[in-house]
Amino acid sequence: MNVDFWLDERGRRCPIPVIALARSQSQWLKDEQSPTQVVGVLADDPAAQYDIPAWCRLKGAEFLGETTPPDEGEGTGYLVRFSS
Amino acid sequence: MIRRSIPAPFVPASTVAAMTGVVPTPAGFLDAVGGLPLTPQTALAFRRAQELAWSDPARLHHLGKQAALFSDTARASLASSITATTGVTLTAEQVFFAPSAQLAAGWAISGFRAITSIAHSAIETLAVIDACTESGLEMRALSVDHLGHLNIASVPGQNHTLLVVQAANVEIGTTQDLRELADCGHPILVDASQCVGRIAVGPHWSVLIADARGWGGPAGLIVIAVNPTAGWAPPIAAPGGWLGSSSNIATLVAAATALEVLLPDFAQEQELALALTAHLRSRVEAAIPDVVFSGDPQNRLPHILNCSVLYVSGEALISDLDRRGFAVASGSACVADSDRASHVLVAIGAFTGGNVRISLPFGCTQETVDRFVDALIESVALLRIEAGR
Repeated sequence: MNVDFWLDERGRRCPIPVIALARSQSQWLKDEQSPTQVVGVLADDPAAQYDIPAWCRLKGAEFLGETTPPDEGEGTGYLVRFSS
Repeated sequence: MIRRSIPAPFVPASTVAAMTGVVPTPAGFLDAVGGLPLTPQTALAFRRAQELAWSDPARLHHLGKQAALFSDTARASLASSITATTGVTLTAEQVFFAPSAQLAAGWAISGFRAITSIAHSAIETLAVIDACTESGLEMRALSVDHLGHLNIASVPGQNHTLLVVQAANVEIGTTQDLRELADCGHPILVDASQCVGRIAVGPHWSVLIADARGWGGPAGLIVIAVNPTAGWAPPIAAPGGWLGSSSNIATLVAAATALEVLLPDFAQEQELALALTAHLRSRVEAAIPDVVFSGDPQNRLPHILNCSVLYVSGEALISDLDRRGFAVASGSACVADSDRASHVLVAIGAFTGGNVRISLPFGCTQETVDRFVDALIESVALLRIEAGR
C-alpha cells in the first residue's frame, strides 16, 4: 500500500487523532491536486480502532484497514483513502 | 461537678431529606438510567415499611406476620402491574425478586431446566452477558444491525436454546421486535429494564427481568416475572418470592408503590417523553454540526437519546455539562471505568468519541430540555475551539 503521508498521533487521546484526520481531508479537498490520497494515521488511543472507521463511514472516506507502524514502534497504523 | 458540653445535634443531610419528605429530581438531571430519587408516595411507602416490616417474614410471631403481609401485598401489586404492562396474566406466585441484575439473570437462566445453550444479543448489558457466561452453557452472541435490531436470521435453529434479549437497549433506546423473536419457537428471557413503566412491553416472553430503578423504585431490587407457559421453576429456595432469601421488604414495597403510582399516567408520560426527545434531537441536529445520533429513531424507548459529538472528548463534554448544571451519561472510553468504549456502540458500529446519553426522568419539562440544548451548543463550541477544531 502506497501511503501518501503519515500522521503521527501516538500519545494523543480522543478526539485529537480524528481531528488530525479531518484536517487532512479538508486540506486535500482545498488543494484539488490529486484525485485520491491515502493517509496513514498512527495512533495508540484505544478509541481509534472504532472511531477512525466510523469517521470514514460518516465523512465519505474509505477505511482501508490497519497496519503496523512503518517505524515498527508502538501503536497501530490506520489507512484511509480520500477520493473524489 | 463534671460537666459534659453537649454539641448541637448533627443531622446528616440524608436524614433531613428523609424527614422533610423528598428530594426533588434536580432540574438538570438527564440520566434517569443511572437512578431516580424516590417520589413522595414511594418515599413514604419505603419509610412506613421500614418502620413496620423490619422483622423476618418467615417468623410465626405477629411482627413476622406483619412483615410478611407487607411483602406479600407488594408482590401481588407487582404481579398486577406487570400484568397491566405486558398483558400476561400473573399471580403473585409468578413474581420473584433478586438483589442485582447479574444474580437475577443467572437465576432466571438456571430456572429453565431443559435448555442446553444460550443465544444473547451482542448488546445485552454486561451484567446479563456475565450471567450467561457464568451459566457454563454453550453460548453465542447474536449480531445486531447499525440501529441495534437483532438479526433474526442469526438466531440458531437448534432445540433447547434460550434467547436472552433486551426489550429495548438502555444505551441507544432501540426496541426489539419480541413477537418476531417469539416466532422462532425458543424460550425467551427478556430484560425489560427501562421498559416497564415506560412502554407497553407486550406478552412475548417466557421470563422477564426488570430493574425497579427504571420506574423510579429504589436500587437493589430486580423483579423476575414468570410467564405461566414458560416451564420455569426457581433454581433455589425462594420463600415469599425472594431468591436466595435476601428479603428486603422496604425496597420491595417502595418498588411496588412506585410502579403502581406511575401506571395510570404512563401512556401520557410516554407521549410527552417521545415529543421531548424528538424536539431535543431536532434542535441539536439543526444547531450543532457533526453530531450523529445512534439507535432507531422510530422504534425506541421514549426517554432515551444517544449521540456522539465529533471532535470533542466525551470526558470533557460530560464534565463541562456538569459544571453547567446538567447530568448526562456517556459510552465513550474516556468516561468508562474500564477505559473501553461501550460494547453497544461498538456492536452497532457507532462513533464512540464525544458520546452523550440523555435519559429523561419522569415529569421532565420542555424548559429543561431547551436549557440543556443551549448548554450543549455552548459547551461543544467551546471544547471544539480548545481541541483546535
